[in-house]
Amino acid sequence: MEIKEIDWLDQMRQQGFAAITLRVFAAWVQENAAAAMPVSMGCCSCFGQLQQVGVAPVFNPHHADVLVVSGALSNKAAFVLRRIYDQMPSPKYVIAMGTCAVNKGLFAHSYAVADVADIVPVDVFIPGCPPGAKEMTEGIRALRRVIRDKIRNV
Amino acid sequence: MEAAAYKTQEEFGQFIRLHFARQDIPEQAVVSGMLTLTVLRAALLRILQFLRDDPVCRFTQLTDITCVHYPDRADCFSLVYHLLSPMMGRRLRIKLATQEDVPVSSVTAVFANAAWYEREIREMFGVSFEGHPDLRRLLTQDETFFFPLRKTFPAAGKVRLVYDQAKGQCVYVPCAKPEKESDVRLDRKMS
Repeated sequence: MEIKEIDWLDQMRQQGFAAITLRVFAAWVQENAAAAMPVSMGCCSCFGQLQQVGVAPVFNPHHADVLVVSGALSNKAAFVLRRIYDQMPSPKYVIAMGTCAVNKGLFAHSYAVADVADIVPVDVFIPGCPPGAKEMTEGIRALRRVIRDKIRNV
Repeated sequence: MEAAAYKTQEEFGQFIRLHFARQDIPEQAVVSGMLTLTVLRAALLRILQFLRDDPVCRFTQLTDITCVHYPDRADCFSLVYHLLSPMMGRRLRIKLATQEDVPVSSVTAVFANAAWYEREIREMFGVSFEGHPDLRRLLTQDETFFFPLRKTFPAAGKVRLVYDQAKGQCVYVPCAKPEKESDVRLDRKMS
């Protein structure tokens, strides 16, 4: 992912010191306090792996900032996943975790499996079957960059 | 003790056929060590009832019901019933050829566990059953309009599910034509 370098001094001259400081602070809070809701439909259940990398799982879409999807998404479950996503408050982010969620993996030729990216807009893809601690750390770091960029560059 | 008289599979098959009219069980064979009876649609329930209750047979367990699709045949579906007799230590296979339009009588009255097998066969192959207490779909979506386990159905499916921003809901869209050769091979030949 390419990170845009921002000329902060120039931004401050245009928008004022307080606005920029507030936005940077908001981004810092958001990226460090993101609560993730795991939706695991396959064998790589994401609870333990999320806790490994320091993200607290929540189990209510109304309290979640990040939706972590893992496992092959069947057509029947796709409707439920979209409903969960719609219930989350904005701004919201989606991680597709594991090969099955990234590109259907083993189930690529199945008539009953939907692509996660077709159902919800995915921000970060974490490959691996299952993803190891290294990939998870990379993924969470990438998600923090996404959150930071999205809030700072409004 | 009486069962000891029917030592071989063929003898046992002859014993079962003695209790029914000749046309009810037209064929009998031993396929890979298991006795296989081909039965007629009308006699299916009577035969299963007999096999369950007869003291020599005692096939008290219905292990499985499966279905096979033969696109070339006139009776294009073959239902296969697997029975187990724990008391007598025997297994038995019963075959029944059927079509899409003609319903098969449900065997839930004889074996209650047949209910889920028949639901699955109906949604996967489109074989209909009459006398079934609850013929809802078992696994697939309610709006599914295809029969996935038929030989004429492409393995990857004909539609895929995407979220439609304008409509605000998930909708089925037709699949793109397979481009790679490996994908084509998975699409079975249409009959």
